[in-house]
Amino acid sequence: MVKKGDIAVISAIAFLAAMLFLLPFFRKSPGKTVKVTVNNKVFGTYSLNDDRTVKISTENGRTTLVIKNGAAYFEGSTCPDKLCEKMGKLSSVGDTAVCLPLKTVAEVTGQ
Amino acid sequence: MNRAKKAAYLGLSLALCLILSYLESLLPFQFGIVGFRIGLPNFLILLLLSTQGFGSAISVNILRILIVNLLFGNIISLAFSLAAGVLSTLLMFALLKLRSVGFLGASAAGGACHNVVQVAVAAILFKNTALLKLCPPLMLLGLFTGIFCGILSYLCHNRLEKLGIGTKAGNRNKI
Repeated sequence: MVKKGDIAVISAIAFLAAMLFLLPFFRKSPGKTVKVTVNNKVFGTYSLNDDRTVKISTENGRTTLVIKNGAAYFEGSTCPDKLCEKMGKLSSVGDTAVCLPLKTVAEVTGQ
Repeated sequence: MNRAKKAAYLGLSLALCLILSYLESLLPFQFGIVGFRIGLPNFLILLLLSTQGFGSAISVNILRILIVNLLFGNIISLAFSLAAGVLSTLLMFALLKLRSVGFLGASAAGGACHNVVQVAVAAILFKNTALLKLCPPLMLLGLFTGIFCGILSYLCHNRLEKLGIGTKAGNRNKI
Protein backbone atom coordinates (compact mmCIF):
# COMPACT_ATOMS: atom_id res chain seq x y z
CA MET A 1 0.00 0.00 0.00
CA VAL A 2 2.78 2.44 0.88
CA LYS A 3 5.21 3.31 -1.89
CA LYS A 4 8.63 4.87 -1.54
CA GLY A 5 7.42 8.11 -3.09
CA ASP A 6 4.55 8.30 -0.61
CA ILE A 7 6.93 8.32 2.33
CA ALA A 8 9.09 10.92 0.59
CA VAL A 9 6.10 13.20 -0.10
CA ILE A 10 4.67 12.83 3.41
CA SER A 11 7.98 13.46 5.16
CA ALA A 12 8.70 16.43 2.88
CA ILE A 13 5.40 18.05 3.85
CA ALA A 14 5.87 17.27 7.54
CA PHE A 15 9.38 18.75 7.37
CA LEU A 16 8.11 21.88 5.58
CA ALA A 17 5.38 22.34 8.18
CA ALA A 18 7.89 21.89 11.01
CA MET A 19 10.25 24.45 9.47
CA LEU A 20 7.45 26.99 8.98
CA PHE A 21 6.42 26.32 12.57
CA LEU A 22 9.92 26.84 13.96
CA LEU A 23 10.85 29.81 11.77
CA PRO A 24 9.42 32.50 14.09
CA PHE A 25 11.42 31.16 17.03
CA PHE A 26 14.72 31.91 15.29
CA ARG A 27 14.15 35.62 15.04
CA LYS A 28 12.69 36.72 18.32
CA SER A 29 13.06 40.12 19.83
CA PRO A 30 11.04 41.48 22.72
CA GLY A 31 8.00 43.47 21.62
CA LYS A 32 6.94 46.88 22.89
CA THR A 33 3.28 47.18 21.94
CA VAL A 34 0.40 44.95 20.99
CA LYS A 35 -1.86 46.00 18.13
CA VAL A 36 -5.41 44.73 18.05
CA THR A 37 -7.38 44.73 14.81
CA VAL A 38 -11.05 43.83 14.50
CA ASN A 39 -12.47 43.25 11.03
CA ASN A 40 -9.30 44.72 9.49
CA LYS A 41 -9.76 47.97 11.39
CA VAL A 42 -7.29 48.95 14.08
CA PHE A 43 -9.07 48.57 17.42
CA GLY A 44 -6.25 49.88 19.52
CA THR A 45 -2.55 49.74 20.30
CA TYR A 46 -1.44 49.07 23.86
CA SER A 47 1.96 49.10 25.53
CA LEU A 48 3.12 45.73 26.84
CA ASN A 49 4.73 47.45 29.82
CA ASP A 50 1.45 48.55 31.40
CA ASP A 51 -0.66 45.79 32.93
CA ARG A 52 -4.28 46.19 31.87
CA THR A 53 -7.27 44.35 30.44
CA VAL A 54 -8.99 45.45 27.25
CA LYS A 55 -12.56 44.39 26.60
CA ILE A 56 -13.19 43.76 22.91
CA SER A 57 -16.71 43.33 21.63
CA THR A 58 -17.46 42.64 17.99
CA GLU A 59 -20.61 41.83 16.07
CA ASN A 60 -19.70 38.15 16.38
CA GLY A 61 -18.88 37.94 20.07
CA ARG A 62 -16.75 39.27 22.89
CA THR A 63 -13.27 38.62 24.15
CA THR A 64 -10.78 40.16 26.53
CA LEU A 65 -7.14 40.95 25.91
CA VAL A 66 -5.08 40.75 29.08
CA ILE A 67 -1.70 42.47 29.28
CA LYS A 68 0.40 41.30 32.18
CA ASN A 69 4.16 41.24 32.88
CA GLY A 70 5.09 42.21 29.32
CA ALA A 71 2.88 39.62 27.62
CA ALA A 72 -0.58 39.81 26.09
CA TYR A 73 -3.11 37.01 25.80
CA PHE A 74 -6.78 36.47 25.08
CA GLU A 75 -9.13 35.40 27.82
CA GLY A 76 -12.84 34.64 28.15
CA SER A 77 -13.55 34.62 24.44
CA THR A 78 -17.10 33.77 23.37
CA CYS A 79 -15.95 32.07 20.17
CA PRO A 80 -16.58 28.33 19.92
CA ASP A 81 -13.05 27.08 19.27
CA LYS A 82 -11.02 29.24 21.72
CA LEU A 83 -8.08 28.97 19.34
CA CYS A 84 -7.09 32.55 20.15
CA GLU A 85 -6.70 31.66 23.84
CA LYS A 86 -4.71 28.56 23.02
CA MET A 87 -2.20 30.64 21.07
CA GLY A 88 -0.82 31.58 24.45
CA LYS A 89 1.13 34.59 25.66
CA LEU A 90 2.39 37.06 23.09
CA SER A 91 5.57 38.89 23.99
CA SER A 92 8.01 38.87 21.04
CA VAL A 93 7.82 40.95 17.87
CA GLY A 94 5.62 39.17 15.36
CA ASP A 95 3.79 37.04 17.93
CA THR A 96 0.18 36.82 16.81
CA ALA A 97 -3.08 35.44 18.12
CA VAL A 98 -5.94 35.17 15.66
CA CYS A 99 -9.59 34.65 16.45
CA LEU A 100 -11.27 33.75 13.18
CA PRO A 101 -14.89 33.77 14.43
CA LEU A 102 -14.48 37.27 15.90
CA LYS A 103 -12.22 38.44 13.04
CA THR A 104 -9.89 39.72 15.74
CA VAL A 105 -6.11 39.72 15.52
CA ALA A 106 -3.59 40.73 18.17
CA GLU A 107 -0.05 41.27 16.97
CA VAL A 108 3.03 42.34 18.89
CA THR A 109 5.08 45.07 17.25
CA GLY A 110 8.44 46.59 18.04
CA GLN A 111 7.34 50.22 18.17
CA MET B 1 -15.80 3.11 -21.42
CA ASN B 2 -18.06 4.62 -24.06
CA ARG B 3 -19.42 8.13 -23.72
CA ALA B 4 -22.82 7.23 -22.31
CA LYS B 5 -21.35 4.82 -19.80
CA LYS B 6 -18.78 7.39 -18.74
CA ALA B 7 -21.45 10.09 -18.32
CA ALA B 8 -23.49 7.77 -16.13
CA TYR B 9 -20.43 6.76 -14.12
CA LEU B 10 -19.33 10.35 -13.54
CA GLY B 11 -22.90 11.36 -12.66
CA LEU B 12 -23.01 8.64 -10.03
CA SER B 13 -19.61 9.73 -8.73
CA LEU B 14 -20.82 13.32 -8.46
CA ALA B 15 -23.90 12.19 -6.55
CA LEU B 16 -21.74 10.16 -4.19
CA CYS B 17 -19.42 13.16 -3.71
CA LEU B 18 -22.41 15.32 -2.75
CA ILE B 19 -23.59 12.72 -0.24
CA LEU B 20 -20.09 12.53 1.25
CA SER B 21 -19.93 16.33 1.50
CA TYR B 22 -23.24 16.31 3.35
CA LEU B 23 -22.18 13.38 5.51
CA GLU B 24 -19.04 15.09 6.75
CA SER B 25 -20.98 18.25 7.54
CA LEU B 26 -22.97 16.07 9.97
CA LEU B 27 -19.92 14.88 11.88
CA PRO B 28 -20.19 16.14 15.45
CA PHE B 29 -16.47 16.55 16.15
CA GLN B 30 -14.36 19.40 14.78
CA PHE B 31 -11.13 18.95 16.77
CA GLY B 32 -11.47 22.46 18.12
CA ILE B 33 -11.25 24.15 14.74
CA VAL B 34 -14.18 25.88 13.12
CA GLY B 35 -14.80 24.55 9.62
CA PHE B 36 -12.68 21.45 10.11
CA ARG B 37 -13.45 18.77 7.55
CA ILE B 38 -11.92 15.41 6.73
CA GLY B 39 -12.30 15.95 3.00
CA LEU B 40 -14.16 12.70 2.40
CA PRO B 41 -15.20 13.61 -1.18
CA ASN B 42 -11.50 13.94 -1.88
CA PHE B 43 -11.01 10.19 -1.80
CA LEU B 44 -13.48 9.80 -4.65
CA ILE B 45 -11.79 12.58 -6.61
CA LEU B 46 -8.50 10.78 -6.14
CA LEU B 47 -10.06 7.56 -7.38
CA LEU B 48 -11.43 9.35 -10.44
CA LEU B 49 -8.06 11.00 -11.07
CA SER B 50 -6.36 7.65 -11.23
CA THR B 51 -9.01 5.75 -13.16
CA GLN B 52 -10.87 8.27 -15.34
CA GLY B 53 -8.21 10.87 -15.94
CA PHE B 54 -7.72 14.51 -15.04
CA GLY B 55 -10.60 16.01 -17.06
CA SER B 56 -13.25 13.83 -15.46
CA ALA B 57 -11.91 14.26 -11.94
CA ILE B 58 -11.65 18.05 -12.09
CA SER B 59 -15.08 18.45 -13.69
CA VAL B 60 -16.69 16.32 -10.99
CA ASN B 61 -14.80 18.24 -8.30
CA ILE B 62 -15.73 21.70 -9.65
CA LEU B 63 -19.37 20.69 -10.04
CA ARG B 64 -19.40 19.25 -6.52
CA ILE B 65 -17.94 22.45 -5.07
CA LEU B 66 -20.45 24.63 -6.98
CA ILE B 67 -23.44 22.54 -5.92
CA VAL B 68 -22.39 22.09 -2.29
CA ASN B 69 -21.73 25.81 -1.86
CA LEU B 70 -24.95 26.80 -3.59
CA LEU B 71 -26.87 24.47 -1.28
CA PHE B 72 -25.11 24.97 2.05
CA GLY B 73 -22.61 27.81 1.69
CA ASN B 74 -22.16 31.33 0.41
CA ILE B 75 -20.05 33.20 -2.13
CA ILE B 76 -17.09 33.51 0.22
CA SER B 77 -17.01 29.81 1.03
CA LEU B 78 -17.30 29.17 -2.72
CA ALA B 79 -14.14 31.19 -3.37
CA PHE B 80 -12.26 29.29 -0.66
CA SER B 81 -13.40 25.87 -1.79
CA LEU B 82 -12.97 26.46 -5.50
CA ALA B 83 -9.40 27.75 -5.25
CA ALA B 84 -8.38 25.02 -2.82
CA GLY B 85 -10.22 22.26 -4.69
CA VAL B 86 -8.79 23.07 -8.11
CA LEU B 87 -5.20 23.57 -6.90
CA SER B 88 -5.13 20.45 -4.74
CA THR B 89 -6.60 18.38 -7.59
CA LEU B 90 -3.88 19.69 -9.90
CA LEU B 91 -1.20 18.79 -7.36
CA MET B 92 -2.62 15.31 -6.78
CA PHE B 93 -2.76 14.75 -10.54
CA ALA B 94 0.88 15.79 -10.96
CA LEU B 95 1.98 13.53 -8.10
CA LEU B 96 -0.02 10.55 -9.36
CA LYS B 97 1.80 10.93 -12.69
CA LEU B 98 4.99 9.97 -10.86
CA ARG B 99 5.29 6.21 -10.80
CA SER B 100 6.75 6.11 -7.32
CA VAL B 101 3.91 8.04 -5.70
CA GLY B 102 0.65 6.28 -4.94
CA PHE B 103 -2.70 7.26 -3.45
CA LEU B 104 -1.26 7.87 -0.01
CA GLY B 105 1.37 10.42 -0.98
CA ALA B 106 -0.83 12.20 -3.50
CA SER B 107 -3.73 12.42 -1.04
CA ALA B 108 -1.53 13.65 1.81
CA ALA B 109 -0.04 16.37 -0.42
CA GLY B 110 -3.52 17.25 -1.69
CA GLY B 111 -4.88 17.60 1.84
CA ALA B 112 -2.01 19.81 2.98
CA CYS B 113 -2.23 21.90 -0.21
CA HIS B 114 -6.00 22.31 0.22
CA ASN B 115 -5.62 23.76 3.71
CA VAL B 116 -2.71 26.02 2.83
CA VAL B 117 -4.57 27.44 -0.19
CA GLN B 118 -7.64 28.12 1.96
CA VAL B 119 -5.55 30.06 4.47
CA ALA B 120 -3.82 31.91 1.63
CA VAL B 121 -7.16 32.85 0.03
CA ALA B 122 -8.44 34.01 3.43
CA ALA B 123 -5.29 36.10 3.90
CA ILE B 124 -5.82 37.72 0.49
CA LEU B 125 -9.58 38.24 0.84
CA PHE B 126 -9.32 39.70 4.35
CA LYS B 127 -6.02 41.47 3.50
CA ASN B 128 -4.50 40.01 6.62
CA THR B 129 -1.07 38.39 6.53
CA ALA B 130 -1.31 37.34 10.18
CA LEU B 131 -3.62 34.53 9.07
CA LEU B 132 -0.66 32.89 7.36
CA LYS B 133 0.59 31.93 10.82
CA LEU B 134 -2.14 29.27 10.84
CA CYS B 135 -0.43 27.54 7.91
CA PRO B 136 1.86 25.03 9.68
CA PRO B 137 -0.75 23.44 11.99
CA LEU B 138 -3.37 23.33 9.23
CA MET B 139 -0.79 21.83 6.89
CA LEU B 140 -0.15 18.99 9.35
CA LEU B 141 -3.88 18.51 9.85
CA GLY B 142 -4.36 18.30 6.07
CA LEU B 143 -1.53 15.79 5.93
CA PHE B 144 -3.31 13.47 8.38
CA THR B 145 -6.77 13.78 6.86
CA GLY B 146 -5.12 13.33 3.45
CA ILE B 147 -3.44 10.10 4.53
CA PHE B 148 -6.79 8.87 5.83
CA CYS B 149 -8.47 9.60 2.48
CA GLY B 150 -5.53 8.06 0.64
CA ILE B 151 -6.03 4.79 2.52
CA LEU B 152 -9.75 4.89 1.68
CA SER B 153 -8.96 5.44 -2.00
CA TYR B 154 -6.49 2.60 -2.03
CA LEU B 155 -8.93 0.17 -0.43
CA CYS B 156 -11.76 1.21 -2.75
CA HIS B 157 -9.53 1.00 -5.80
CA ASN B 158 -8.54 -2.57 -4.99
CA ARG B 159 -12.13 -3.68 -4.49
CA LEU B 160 -13.38 -1.91 -7.62
CA GLU B 161 -10.60 -3.49 -9.61
CA LYS B 162 -11.55 -6.96 -8.43
CA LEU B 163 -15.14 -6.27 -9.45
CA GLY B 164 -13.97 -4.75 -12.73
CA ILE B 165 -15.93 -1.53 -12.16
CA GLY B 166 -14.66 1.80 -13.37
CA THR B 167 -10.99 0.94 -13.52
CA LYS B 168 -9.08 0.83 -16.74
CA ALA B 169 -7.18 -2.32 -17.59
CA GLY B 170 -3.49 -1.53 -17.80
CA ASN B 171 -4.02 1.55 -15.69
CA ARG B 172 -0.61 2.97 -15.06
CA ASN B 173 -1.41 4.26 -11.63
CA LYS B 174 -2.22 0.79 -10.43
CA ILE B 175 -0.62 0.03 -7.11
